[in-house]
Amino acid sequence: MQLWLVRHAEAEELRVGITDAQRALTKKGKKRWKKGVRGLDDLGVRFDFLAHSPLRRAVETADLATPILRGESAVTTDLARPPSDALLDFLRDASDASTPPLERVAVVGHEPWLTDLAVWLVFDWRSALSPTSPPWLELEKGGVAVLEGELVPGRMRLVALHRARTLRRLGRTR
Amino acid sequence: MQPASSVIARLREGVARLRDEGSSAAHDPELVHRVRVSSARLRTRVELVGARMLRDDLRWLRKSAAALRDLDVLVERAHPEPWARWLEHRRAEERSAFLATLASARAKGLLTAIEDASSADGDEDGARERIERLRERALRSARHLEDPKAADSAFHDLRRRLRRLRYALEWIDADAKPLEDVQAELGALNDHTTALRELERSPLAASLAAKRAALERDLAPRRARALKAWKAAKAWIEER
Repeated sequence: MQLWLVRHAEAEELRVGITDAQRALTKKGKKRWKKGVRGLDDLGVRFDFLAHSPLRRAVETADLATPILRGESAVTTDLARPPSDALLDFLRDASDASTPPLERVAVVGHEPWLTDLAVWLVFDWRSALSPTSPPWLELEKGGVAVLEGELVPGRMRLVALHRARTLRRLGRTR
Repeated sequence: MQPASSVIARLREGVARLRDEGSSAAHDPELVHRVRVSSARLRTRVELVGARMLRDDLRWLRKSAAALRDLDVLVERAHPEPWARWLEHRRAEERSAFLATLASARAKGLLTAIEDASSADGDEDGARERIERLRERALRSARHLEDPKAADSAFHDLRRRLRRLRYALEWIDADAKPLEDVQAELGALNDHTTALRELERSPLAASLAAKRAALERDLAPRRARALKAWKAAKAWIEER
């Protein structure tokens, strides 16, 4: 399985009158991420399944990825907190329920949890999840990391890291 | 477009009571019905405003509520033993599955995200275009309905599409009354096919052959009534 970790696009700052969960994408964030999606489209990327956090900025980011989604989507609070066995179980259940099994799954979420998830799946290394550890990998907004392998801690490898800017450039050429 | 707040409040209140009171609240068929209807209405609204996310989640929640609701309706009728006992057993299974659905991270995420996703007004023209597509899909799905060999699933498909069309019309405050009769007939047909399906999957199927024969005999007149109601609704839909 390939697991595509997508960090939400640029969102508005927290302000009086809204909660963190209600922060929407900015106009610029939407515009840039649309180009990023076109870039992924140009690379031939198609998602069989997309899971996303319930926070508004992640829902909107996921929604803009609709053109490259070929299967179902699902929201889960497990993507709005540190990665857990429950999240892996959720993704495995989605794959088991699919015929054929899911090959390319996207998760749209937040930092630092996406990096934590990558570290856990690649190294089975949870001690790196400490806030005092130096960042092993930090996804920028609209950035994408691709892991491949069995969806088990320590059994995936990092195969690609797409910077948001690179994806936008790809998307702009159309 | 009608605001979504009251439907969201109904869904949230229903889910909260079911979660807090657990199995005892799940014995209240009206509460289960409320979750089913409000999730279906919200799914249509999300579609009308042109969003893609949460549609699958709302369908998933509606489906889980509908599986229990179908059995609630079936159990409410008088049935001979041991068929009645089997249906109660099946209802308890679906109730547990429904409560597990409500307790999941997916359901919690859905209730967190639904307000923002369905509060967007969307553009009126876009909503009308989408309603036009729903109208066309409903007509297309019923093309072969008059064929006596049409599968039960064709009636079920039409029921699903008419439900979406009706909710969509209600969201924009348009008249949807002429769809009520056909929906009622298709609903009655669905209750009937649910009974047959449950009978077939039950270990008692062999000993309830007479019951099954009676249900099968009654299927054709029910399909005929649904078809008659559809013809009246079809004329109205085509004129729109």
